[in-house]
Amino acid sequence: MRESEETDTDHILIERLRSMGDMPPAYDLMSRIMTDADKIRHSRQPSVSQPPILVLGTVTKWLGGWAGLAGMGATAALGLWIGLSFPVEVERITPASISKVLHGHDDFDLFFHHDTFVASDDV
Amino acid sequence: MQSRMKNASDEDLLGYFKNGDAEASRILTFRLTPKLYMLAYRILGNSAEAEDVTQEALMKLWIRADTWERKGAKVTTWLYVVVNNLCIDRLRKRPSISIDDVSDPVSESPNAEEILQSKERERELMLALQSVPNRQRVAIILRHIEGLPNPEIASILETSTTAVESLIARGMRNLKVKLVGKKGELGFGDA
Repeated sequence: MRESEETDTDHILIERLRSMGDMPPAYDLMSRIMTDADKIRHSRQPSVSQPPILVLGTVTKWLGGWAGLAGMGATAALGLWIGLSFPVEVERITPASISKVLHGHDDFDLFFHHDTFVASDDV
Repeated sequence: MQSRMKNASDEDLLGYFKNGDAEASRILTFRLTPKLYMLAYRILGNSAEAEDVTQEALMKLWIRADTWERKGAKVTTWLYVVVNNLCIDRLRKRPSISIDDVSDPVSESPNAEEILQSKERERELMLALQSVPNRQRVAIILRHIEGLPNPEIASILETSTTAVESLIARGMRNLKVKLVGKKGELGFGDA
């Protein structure tokens, strides 16, 4: 009996505790909290937007994608090689030197007589 | 998009906020502020201090959003821990509580006599609640007012479920002792 009375008292007390707190927070508090959130959000803004990646993507698209970029890269490298490589005098370019470059040996003598080319059948 | 946000969990909304969504922080503010404010008010018994604690706790949440782990604890559980700790810090700085420290709660009852009666009842209850040891008080509030399950209260108070049950039982006993002689005012009848 005493136990059930205690349970009733507990129940009423809990009811009273629950009913005492229906007071909404002030609007001013909500406003201050939202201002705090906006400040934190704005302070992180640069890391959220990623303009460099967007710019790179746009430029790549303009230049015809990765294939276009690769072609441009190869052309630029060839241009650089032509510009930077040691210049060769025109007189030094002979059929023998061309053969050496092309075949690794100067067997052009077989076909070359007196500064003129002759057909191999005539040798 | 808005209805999807309104139905989203607190954890999802925190993720949206992290990605720069202002609407997510607004929904979280409207959803969480009343809970945190009432918890702080019931622990501290002072509305101005409860507002400060609520604002501070949510500020910590906005800052924490960047490193929040989705697989971790619930946002509300984490916030209850923060509010409880902030309240403990404030209570430690206080010498003691008197009836004047308990601010008047707002009531929406239309009848003036009822308002007075209700205010007086809440004042008595709040004062009795303030006199109960802090951990017992927080356990009672979280269990009987917020309706949290004991395991969640245990994680908030960093203790075991058995210890929570004990805290609640001792707290309720202490509360009843404090309210002896005030059963009439509190509407208990003369038992």
